[in-house]
Amino acid sequence: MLEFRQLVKTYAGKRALDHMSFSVPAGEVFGFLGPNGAGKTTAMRSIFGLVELDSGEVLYQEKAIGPTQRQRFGYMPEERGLYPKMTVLDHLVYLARLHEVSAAESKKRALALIEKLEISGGPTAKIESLSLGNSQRTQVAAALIHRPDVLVLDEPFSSLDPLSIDIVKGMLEDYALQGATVLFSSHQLELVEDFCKGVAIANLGRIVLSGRVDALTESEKLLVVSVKEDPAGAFLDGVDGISRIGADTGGQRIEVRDENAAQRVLEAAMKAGTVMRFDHVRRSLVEVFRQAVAAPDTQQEGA
Amino acid sequence: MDRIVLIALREIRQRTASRGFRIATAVTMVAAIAYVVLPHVLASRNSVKTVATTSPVTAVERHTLTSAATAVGLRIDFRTYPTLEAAKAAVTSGAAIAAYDQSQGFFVKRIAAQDQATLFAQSAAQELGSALALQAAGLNSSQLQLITHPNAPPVVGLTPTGKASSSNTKAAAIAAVLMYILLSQYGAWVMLGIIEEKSSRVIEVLLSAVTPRELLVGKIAGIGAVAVIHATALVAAMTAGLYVIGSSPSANLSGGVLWLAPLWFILGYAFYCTLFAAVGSTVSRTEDAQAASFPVALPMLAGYIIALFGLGGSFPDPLLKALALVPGLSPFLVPAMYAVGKVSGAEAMASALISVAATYSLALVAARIYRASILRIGSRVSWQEAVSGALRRGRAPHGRAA
Repeated sequence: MLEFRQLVKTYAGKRALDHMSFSVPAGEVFGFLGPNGAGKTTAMRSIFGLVELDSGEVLYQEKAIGPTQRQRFGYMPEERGLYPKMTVLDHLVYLARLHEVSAAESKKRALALIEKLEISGGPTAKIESLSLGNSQRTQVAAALIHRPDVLVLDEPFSSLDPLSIDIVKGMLEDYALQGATVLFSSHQLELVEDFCKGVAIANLGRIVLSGRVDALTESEKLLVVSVKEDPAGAFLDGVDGISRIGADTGGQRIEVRDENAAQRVLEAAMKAGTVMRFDHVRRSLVEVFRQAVAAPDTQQEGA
Repeated sequence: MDRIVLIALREIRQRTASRGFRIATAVTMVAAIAYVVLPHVLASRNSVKTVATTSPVTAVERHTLTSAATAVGLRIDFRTYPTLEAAKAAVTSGAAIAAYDQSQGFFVKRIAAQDQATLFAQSAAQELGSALALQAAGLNSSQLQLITHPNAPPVVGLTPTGKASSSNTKAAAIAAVLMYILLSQYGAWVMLGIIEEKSSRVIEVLLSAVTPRELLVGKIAGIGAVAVIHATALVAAMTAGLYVIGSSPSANLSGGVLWLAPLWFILGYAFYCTLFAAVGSTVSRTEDAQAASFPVALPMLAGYIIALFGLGGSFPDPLLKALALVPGLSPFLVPAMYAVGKVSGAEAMASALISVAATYSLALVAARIYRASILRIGSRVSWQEAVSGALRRGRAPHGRAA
């Protein structure tokens, strides 16, 4: 388990990290979310000693992280970092060697990753000749080449097309299933919802919400109701104790404020015509995110 | 394998594989050979002058005149003209350097104190007069040879560095030029290499695997090795050039210069690359590199200019000796001054020790500046910020929130 414990970092009087704390379990892909300036990159850089914290610490398996542990970590920074004049193969082998992988094994792994990630141009392509997507895939390979115990990726899916996303996503899922701790940040919330078991949402340097995605998006108060004769949902106008959230192809989305409100909605729908749909729905992670960052002062914990 | 070695090997491979390095090395090698060979070829061609005669020269005349010509730096051949007037006309037109007639003597275009033709004619006339007189006295050719070209005892200076020969002066200039070219080129490579790692953001990936010290030392060692390869290629080219013209390095340089120049190249590289590395870490864009490195380039330029022009007498010796102790100037001054005998071996070693001590102290500060500035991306880090960051504890005093 990777644990961020009370991280504090101030830049020129501005708090980038304000007692940030959360944990990332091993064996799954964990999403790190937050608006720009929330402190995600600073927190991730602190794992690798790239930021000097004012206070707090990052622990791995309950121990402070030092150079020896970092050798077993992999990092993909937000700003992609590759030597433009090197070939893909040379670059990957070089990074593997810096992580103390033997020369022969480094080459073997590099070739396998190039093939698996479908990096066009192959091993001998120069980094500077790669497209943005292929460059990004190479960066993913660079983070994975030494088979780290902890993999930290800052915005790994930005600029990737859907096919590339599928490839990288599959690779990260497989990797986490092998027992690794995988932490990544992203603004692509639909992708995170589909992909992650757990998330932490940061805002203004603090974690404002964290937990299992299933638990965070579950809501007994959120209903969707559809009446064949009244698709616009006019029958809901006279019902007390509800808030209309919106409509989609499935029907009207509403939030009920008390236990009896759902019953009143059902009765009103039956009076209005044929009830096509009446059930609980999950909140999207986008909704959870918006709600969490709108009230940053209250830290919440999901189940 | 040690990570520093891996980093150094990457630098060596990448730099030597680049087309720019290969072209630059080839061009400078050709220039080095040309520097040695061309003056010799041109001098050889230019010095073959014609001596106009009115009759075929005798063996004694040929030998004596050729000997006199060599003494004033000329190579001559002979051409026989039908009349003395024709021979004089050849001199007047410039076709011959001088005219010689057995009964009338030597004729030159104009008698002038430092004129090569005048010197030749005067020397030849004197030697020929003696030779002919001795011949008239009945000496045979072997006796004549012994008298006119005796085996003079050698004259050996007891202080080897006390006199600047023309070849040593040339060696001093070569040492200064090479030192400036190599130190400025490879110092800049260290700086630009660091800027490249910052601008491409690969620095974050690297520093997640290695320490800043390992990265810095590996880079400096790798580029230093490339510089040594380049310097060796240049010296080899010059040596080849010397052998082509029938000479050798040991015939042109004192043994001290041969080991002192490489030693000072290493000391100079260590001093300047440390400074260039610190400068490079404060800059994120190559466009800012020139302005940022100006304070480092200044002492380098000063040392080069003093070594090149100051040794000719523009600077008094005590001042030169004092400047030769100044770290940064010493890599240029000491080898050049040693070549022309303005500094002794002991003084050169004392200066080397000062340079080592200064480089060590500088490296401690530069490494801290590097650690404090290397992860700062964006606008240039001012010297004030860099130094204050270096004085703080820790690795990355500033950065960006996200």
